[in-house]
Amino acid sequence: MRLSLVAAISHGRVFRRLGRGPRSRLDLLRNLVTALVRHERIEAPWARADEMRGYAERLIDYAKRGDTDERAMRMADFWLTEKDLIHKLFKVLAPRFQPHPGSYTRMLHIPNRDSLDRAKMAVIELKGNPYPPLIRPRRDSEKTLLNQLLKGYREDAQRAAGP
Amino acid sequence: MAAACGKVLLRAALPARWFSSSMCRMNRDGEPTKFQPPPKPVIIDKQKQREERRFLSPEFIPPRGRTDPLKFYMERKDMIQRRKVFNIPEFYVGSILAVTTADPYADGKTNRFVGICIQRGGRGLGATFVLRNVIEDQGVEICYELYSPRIQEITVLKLEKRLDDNLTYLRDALPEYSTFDMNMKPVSHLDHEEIPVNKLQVRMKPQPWSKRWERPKYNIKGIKFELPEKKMKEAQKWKQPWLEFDMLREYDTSK
Amino acid sequence: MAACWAARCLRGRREWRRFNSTLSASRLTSDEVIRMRNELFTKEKERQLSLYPRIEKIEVKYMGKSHPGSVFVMNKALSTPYNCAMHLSEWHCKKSVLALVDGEVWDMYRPLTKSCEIQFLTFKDEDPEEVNKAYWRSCAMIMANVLKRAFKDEYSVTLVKSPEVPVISGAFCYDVILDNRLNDWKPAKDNFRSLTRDANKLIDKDLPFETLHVEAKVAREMFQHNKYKMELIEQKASQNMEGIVVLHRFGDFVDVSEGPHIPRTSFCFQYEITAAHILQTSQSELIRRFQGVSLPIHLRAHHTVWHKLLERSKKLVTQEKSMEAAAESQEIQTQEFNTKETFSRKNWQWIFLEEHQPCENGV
Repeated sequence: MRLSLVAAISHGRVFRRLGRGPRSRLDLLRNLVTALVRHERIEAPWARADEMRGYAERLIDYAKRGDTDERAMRMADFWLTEKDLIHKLFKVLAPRFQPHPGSYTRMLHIPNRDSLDRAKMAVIELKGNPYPPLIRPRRDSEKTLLNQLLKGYREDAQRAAGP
Repeated sequence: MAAACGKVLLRAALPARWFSSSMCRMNRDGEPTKFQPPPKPVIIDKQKQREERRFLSPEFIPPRGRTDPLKFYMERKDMIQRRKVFNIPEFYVGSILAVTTADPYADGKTNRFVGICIQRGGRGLGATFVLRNVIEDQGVEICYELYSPRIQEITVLKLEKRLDDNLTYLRDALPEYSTFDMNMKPVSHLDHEEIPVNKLQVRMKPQPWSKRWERPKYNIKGIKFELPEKKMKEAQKWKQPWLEFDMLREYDTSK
Repeated sequence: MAACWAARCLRGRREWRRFNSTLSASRLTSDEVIRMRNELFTKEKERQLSLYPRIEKIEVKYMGKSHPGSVFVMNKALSTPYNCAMHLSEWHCKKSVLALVDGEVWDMYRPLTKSCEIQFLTFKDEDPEEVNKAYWRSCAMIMANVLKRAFKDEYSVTLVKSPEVPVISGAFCYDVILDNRLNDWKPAKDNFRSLTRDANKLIDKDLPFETLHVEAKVAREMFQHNKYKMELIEQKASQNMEGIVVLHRFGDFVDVSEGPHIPRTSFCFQYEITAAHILQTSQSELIRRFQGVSLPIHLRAHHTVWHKLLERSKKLVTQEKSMEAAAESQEIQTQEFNTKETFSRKNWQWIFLEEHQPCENGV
C-alpha cells in the first residue's frame, strides 16, 4: 500500500505494479515475507519493502488469532513458502507481538544500490529482533547544563525528604 | 408495543417465583413430598425471538472510500425519520414484492407492480431496489428508490433468499423464472423463523448472454449451466485464486 | 573615517582629563560612566588592532570529529574561531559556544594570534563543564547590565562582582550594592518581572560579546569609580604574570570577567531573574545578591520542569554551599545505584525529572 501524498490523487491505484502481473506480484512479495520471517531483518528495494510491509503486518495480525484458526492457517500456508516457518510464526512471533496493537516492523532507508541499478534501498526488520539496533539512541550526557540543574534539584529534594 | 411487552414480562416473572417457593418447601421438609409440582409452562417470548435475529438493511452500512461521514450521519437521521412514518419491510434479493406508487396518470392515482427483487443498490438515502417481472411476454424491470416519497406501500408477498446476491442473470434466463402473477396472494411468514433459501437453479436461454455468467468472477450458483465441458473449463482460466490471500484488499464492514 | 576616529580619541582624552580633575569632587551619572568606559574600550581595541598593520597568514588546524585534519589559512589577529566555524558549516556556527585553541579555552569572537589547533565546544559535549561555566558567567553579566540600567540616575548602583557558582547550585548570581536610600526596599514579584523583561530585550537584540585583553593600567582607568572592581582588577593582575586583565563588552556594557563568555546573547532562550538576597557582611554597605536562572536555546525545558527550576533558583546560593553540594554530590553518586530506584517509586516527580532528553521508544 502506498502511503504518500500521491495517494491522495491516486485515482484508486493503491498498489504498486511489481513483477509481471498481479500473480507474480504476490509471489514476489511472498518470498520477501518469508525471508523477513526467517531472518527478521532484510534489505530490499525500497518500493518492494514498503509494499511488503503491509502484508507482513497483516500476516502477524492473522497469526495472533492462534493456530487453531483455519483462515489464519491458510494465510500462513500461502505466505510462507518455507513451511518450517509456520511454527515460528505462530509460536514465536505471535506471542512476541501479542501486547502490541500494530506496527510490528521498522523500515529505514539505506544508501542506493550501487552495484546494479542504483535502486532506492531499504532495510526492514521485525521489532524486538535479537540483532544490535540499527539506530543507536542518542542521549545527552549527564553533565549538560539542563541535566546538571535537574540533578541539583533532585539532590535538594532528596535532602529535604531524607533527614 | 410497550403494553404487550409488559404483559409478556409479567407472565415470565410469575412462574419463576412460584417455582422458587416450591423448591424452598422441598428443602425444609428434608425429603421429597408427595406433592407433584405442575409442569412448567413453556413460555415463548416472541419479542425476544425477534430480537435475536437482528436485521440491518444494507443501506445503513457506511460506504467505503473517501466519503464524508457527516453527510452519511445526516442521511441516516433522515432515513430513520422516514422509517418512523413509513413501514419499509425486511426483504432480500430474491423476495417477491408488491410496490404501490403514486402515479398521476393512472386510475385512482396509484400504480401497483409485483415482481422479484433482483438487485439492491445505493447507500444512505439513495438506496434502490430493482423489481423484475414478465408481463405479456415482455420483461419489465422497475428501479424504485427505497426512500422516495412517491412510494405509498411496500408489501412482501414472499420472503425468501436465493443462492446469489444479485439476480441480474434472470434477464438471460428463460422467461418462466421471472414471471409472477400480478394478483399473487401473500405467503405467510412467521417473524421468528429463519429466512428460507430458495435453492432453485434456473435454466438459461441459449448464448450469447449479456455477461459471461460461467466465469468465476461472478461466482453464480443459481444457474444450471448446460454448456459443453470445454467451455466450462475455458472459463476457469479467469480464476484468480490469489485474490483470497491478498490481505490488503480485505474490507471488514462488520466493525 | 580616520578623521572621525581622531576626533573621537581627542574628545575621549579631553573627557579623561576632565574626569581626572573632577574625580573626587563630583559623582558622574551612570550614562557618562558607561560612555567613558565604552570609549576607552574602543580606543584600546583600535590600538591593539593597529599593532598588526599588515595582514599576516596563520594556519589553523581543525581537530574535531566532523572534518578531521582540515587546515584553514586565516588572518592573524583578525580572524576568530567563529570565522573558522563559518568555513565548516552552519551547524558549527550555531552550536559552538567556545573554542579550544591549543588546549586553552577561547572566546568565539576573540582573534587568533598564532598558528594553532582548534576545536569547538558545544552544550551537548561529553563534558561541557567549561561551556556551562561560560554560560553562567554570561547570564550573570546580562543581569548586571540590566541592574545597572534598571534604576534611575538618582539611585546609585554599584556592581561588586559575580561569584563563580557551579551550575548544579541552580542559579547564577551577581552581587550589587544599591543606594543607601533603598536599604529597606524589598523587591516584589513585579520588580523581578520587569527586570526579566529588560533582560529579554537585551537577549532579543542578539548582541555579540567582545573580548579584550588589556593591561591593568587601562582597566584601572576604566573602573576608577568602582572600588570593588578596582580590587578585583588588582587581584586579577597579580594572578597574571604580565598583569593582563580580561574585559568583556556586549552592547555598551563593559565588565571585568573571570573567563570566556558565550558568543552572543541570543544563545539564551529561557531567562529569568528570580530573587534578591541580602548578604550578611561586616561592611557598612548592604550587599544584595541578585539571582536568576536561564537555559540556552539548545537545551530547552518543558514548562513544568522550568517552573520547578525557577522555584529552586530562589534559594540563596553561596560559593561555600555550592562547594559543599559539589562534594556531597560526589558522595551521593556512589550511593545512587541503591537509592535511585526507591526514590523513583516513592515520588512521581522523579519520573519526569530523571533526565531530560529525547529517547527513542520501540517495541
